[in-house]
Amino acid sequence: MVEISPILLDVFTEFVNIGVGRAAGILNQMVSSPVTLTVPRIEVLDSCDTGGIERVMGTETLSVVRLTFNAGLNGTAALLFPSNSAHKFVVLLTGEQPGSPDIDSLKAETLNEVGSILLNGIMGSIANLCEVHIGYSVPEHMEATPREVCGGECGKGASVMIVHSMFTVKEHLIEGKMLLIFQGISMQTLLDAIKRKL
Amino acid sequence: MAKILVIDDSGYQRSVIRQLLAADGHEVIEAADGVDGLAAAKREKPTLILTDIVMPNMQGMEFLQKMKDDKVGIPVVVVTADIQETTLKQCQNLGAAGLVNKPLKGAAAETLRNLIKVYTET
Repeated sequence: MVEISPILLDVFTEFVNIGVGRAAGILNQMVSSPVTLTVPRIEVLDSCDTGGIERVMGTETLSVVRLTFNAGLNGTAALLFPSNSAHKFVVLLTGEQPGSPDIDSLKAETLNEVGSILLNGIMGSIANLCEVHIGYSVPEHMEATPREVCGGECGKGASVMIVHSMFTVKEHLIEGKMLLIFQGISMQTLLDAIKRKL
Repeated sequence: MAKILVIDDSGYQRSVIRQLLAADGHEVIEAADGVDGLAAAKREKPTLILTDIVMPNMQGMEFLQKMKDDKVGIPVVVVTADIQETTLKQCQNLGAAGLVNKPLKGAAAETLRNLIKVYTET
């Protein structure tokens, strides 16, 4: 398993904090309400096959926006909402009535776009701070467990670093989670970039 | 008012931009990717083009490159969630007339309006 020294972990946590803070600012702008965030937690797992993802993220099926990133860093970024929160979020953003038959058809497209904006906020901040460039995939919406979100990122025996944080928009009873997964080689790239900053 | 082509794979995002442009009286035409966008740019000859970057079929960067190679001569403003400094530089190198970050609220919406004024009132 890749070892991360406490100093490197501290700097990386700060980089992630900046990114998550930016995403919270964007979300606040979109919903015009205060957004509460938990401090991001960073964990290195041997692989996702050992139950680590389930321990950290739970087993519930969630409404997920996932995009993969590549080039300077490789991995997956995802935004995960409990189903009722996803519904409230779409209603809030589109201005549709809660019972409108159009909500379901708008859901994937709206969540994809908003998820992409928020995840770009986090990943773009990290890329800027580490001075690397990353490319993004088109976002995809799915109903999935956190384990399923990891998909091919969690190859057997491959180390992965996961970053997770929770956000809440209390006024609208919306909550969700952000998840970043860095593949083994990317972890090293990230750590080398941070070392150059020290 | 001007004819503006909006290229974005997200129908939700196109509707956000359409409302913003229509409020200022502009005519809006839409495309969902770079391939359709390039065809629409040549066919419709809009005054200005707004394009996303991450799209299926043809991404925004390739669209900018083709616009440059084909000497289409219509200013292109990139509207993207990508906040990387390297992305901004790439867009500038490919001749983009400007870059505005999503979401198009507050200052970002105002920046886009100002850019549209610059390129549609000259």
